[in-house]
Amino acid sequence: VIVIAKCTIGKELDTAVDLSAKAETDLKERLISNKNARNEILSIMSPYEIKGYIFIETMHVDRVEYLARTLRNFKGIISGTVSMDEIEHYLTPKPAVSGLSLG
Amino acid sequence: MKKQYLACKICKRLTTDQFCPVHGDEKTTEEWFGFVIVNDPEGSVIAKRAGITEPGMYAIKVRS
Ligand SMILES: [Zn+2]
Repeated sequence: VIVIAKCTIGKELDTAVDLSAKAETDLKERLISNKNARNEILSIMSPYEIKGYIFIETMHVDRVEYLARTLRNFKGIISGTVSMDEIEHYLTPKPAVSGLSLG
Repeated sequence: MKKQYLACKICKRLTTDQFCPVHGDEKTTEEWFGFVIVNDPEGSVIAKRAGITEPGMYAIKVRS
């Protein structure tokens, strides 16, 4: 699922980098006892149009909350999920001059 | 000390280096907007839609 997490405005990148690193460390630890362990965070997305929130793709929302608990700029996960269709347009930004090239 | 991330204009990878780690000759730029961090490209729907097949940090948009 994809969930929305709140973070300090302007700290989207720091928060995502730290959270990703926490998940990588967590995965390494779990791989010792379970060779099929997967990363609790599949991906993190932060469109530049959106400040103070990041999208987190995960199979286990509660585990993300656990991994993020010590991050200073992480302000919690908003209940509910978003679909890929709702956020896909952020991946393909329209050119700024779209529509102005006629003639 | 805050790290300044720069993006490759070809693959959009984010790096703290002046040159892309994959495209050695490509100078990276600070003019990028939005990002995706992919930990598990095989499991991630976002990575698939973005066409990302390797773990890492990527800019969504890079000014060329
Ligand atoms: Zn590159």
